[in-house]
Amino acid sequence: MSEKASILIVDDDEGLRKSLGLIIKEKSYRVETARTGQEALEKAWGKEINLALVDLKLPDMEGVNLIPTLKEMHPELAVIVTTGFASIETAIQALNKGASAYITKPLNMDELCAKVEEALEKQRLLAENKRLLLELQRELEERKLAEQERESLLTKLSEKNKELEQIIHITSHDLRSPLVNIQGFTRELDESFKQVYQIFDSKAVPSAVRKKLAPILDEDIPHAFQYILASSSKMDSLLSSLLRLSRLGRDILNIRRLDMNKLMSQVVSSFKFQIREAGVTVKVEELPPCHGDETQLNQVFSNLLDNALKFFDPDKSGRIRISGKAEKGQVTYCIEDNGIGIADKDRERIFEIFCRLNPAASAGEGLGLAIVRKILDRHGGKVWVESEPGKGSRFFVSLLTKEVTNDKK
Amino acid sequence: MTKNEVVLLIAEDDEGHASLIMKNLRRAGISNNMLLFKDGQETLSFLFQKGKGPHRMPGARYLLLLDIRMPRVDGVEVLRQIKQDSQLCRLPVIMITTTDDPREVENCHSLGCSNYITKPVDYDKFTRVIRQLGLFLLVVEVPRLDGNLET
Repeated sequence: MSEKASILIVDDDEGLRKSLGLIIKEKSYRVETARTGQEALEKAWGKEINLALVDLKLPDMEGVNLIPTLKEMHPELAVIVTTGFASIETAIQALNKGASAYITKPLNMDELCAKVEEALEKQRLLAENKRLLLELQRELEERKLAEQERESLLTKLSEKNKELEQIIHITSHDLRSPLVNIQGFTRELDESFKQVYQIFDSKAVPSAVRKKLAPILDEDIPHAFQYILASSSKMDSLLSSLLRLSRLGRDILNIRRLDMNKLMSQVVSSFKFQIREAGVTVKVEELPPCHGDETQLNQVFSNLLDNALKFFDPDKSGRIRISGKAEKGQVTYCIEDNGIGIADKDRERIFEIFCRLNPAASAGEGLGLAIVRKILDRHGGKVWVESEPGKGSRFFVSLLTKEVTNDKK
Repeated sequence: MTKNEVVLLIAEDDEGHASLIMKNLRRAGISNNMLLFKDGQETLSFLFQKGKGPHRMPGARYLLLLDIRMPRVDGVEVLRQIKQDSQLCRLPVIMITTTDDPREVENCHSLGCSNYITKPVDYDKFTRVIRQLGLFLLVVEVPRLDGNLET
């Protein structure tokens, strides 16, 4: 309590009031005095009173009965009762009504001062305690609110995410429908033209007409067909990938312990042809097991291996090394290549949807790494890359060894 | 009795798709009669002999090619109603869909469709599927649907 404490002396003995008042003032407390209970209530009204010294025999009432009313005005008030007629009963009564101490007259001033200080200290500690409790409560309340807010944001986010997946799903489905017609009827046209060619080849066509039609039939039309078909199949594969991506979010994960040596050898053998084509050596080291969905993790490592095979450096002999180590409840696998590498500025971008750094140089829709990241997100895992352009890339995949997933499904 | 008598019912809301399906069925050597329905409601009216449009003939053999996504009543609902009916449940139904959504495929199989094909944009694959379908039609014994349905 930084402010001076204020003490109310209630006693009908004027001499005692004055002498007590002086002694208390000396201890640098503020002092109010009252002769009667009524006066005490008037003095206490609307003022800061920390402690009351109440004589049990007052002209207008029993001091004991004054205590509850004073406490009502000042709930924190400390009360010390003084009396000339000490008895166990009155003492107990006074303490029951909320007095904190009981002193008999004639007053021993040292004892009194000690009791006053003790009572004030106790009061101060109680107040401090209460303040801390309130603060704690408020903090807890705030934390709870923050938690609730976080929860509701998470729910909203996952709803939005679902909505987005739904939109992707519907649009890619609806876009695919007209595409069936475009490509189907292009082929129908092609069939029709085959018949036209047959007629064209027959001798019935005059050579003047033949000369005019030749460049159209031999070049223009096949050229147009080629572009229409190539573009529509491109669009088809884009839409299929989008659909695959949108489905990933709702596939139910079947998380279990996986023998990664087995899984990786399946992945590698499914790329046997491409590996031989590219003349790349693939070395798979002993891999620790992890927990995950077999199909989805197969997809992850297939996509990563596919990338490593796609972006090898034609000027050197390609090498891919797959390794893994377990530590502190998680496993980290690494797919290392000595390919063309990835520039610093692209290192994050490559995981974005439809990102293709060099569309002319390779096939694909730019979804492979987006799918990898999405699968790992759902597994509570991570994927990142370290790379030096011209020297190669190292893709890391970390997964939990225990069955923990942040997926709500 | 030749299997040629089987009438192909094609429920497909996209006219282009329907036309491509029919052209390719013909090209694959399938000369059966074909009836086209532009949505699920029309299909149901025909099969359950309700409403104004054409109704199925008692004792005839049918095979239904059913698109999943259609306005008004979708293909899955049509399939469900067919398979719940004591007579119509014997009708072979081949689902045709634009996407090969595994959940949708599973759903249709659990409802009891006979086969499931995806409309591929890849024309060659599409033709192959249709040809397989043609083969299916030539090989499979399509049950005869009995007289009027109990109401």
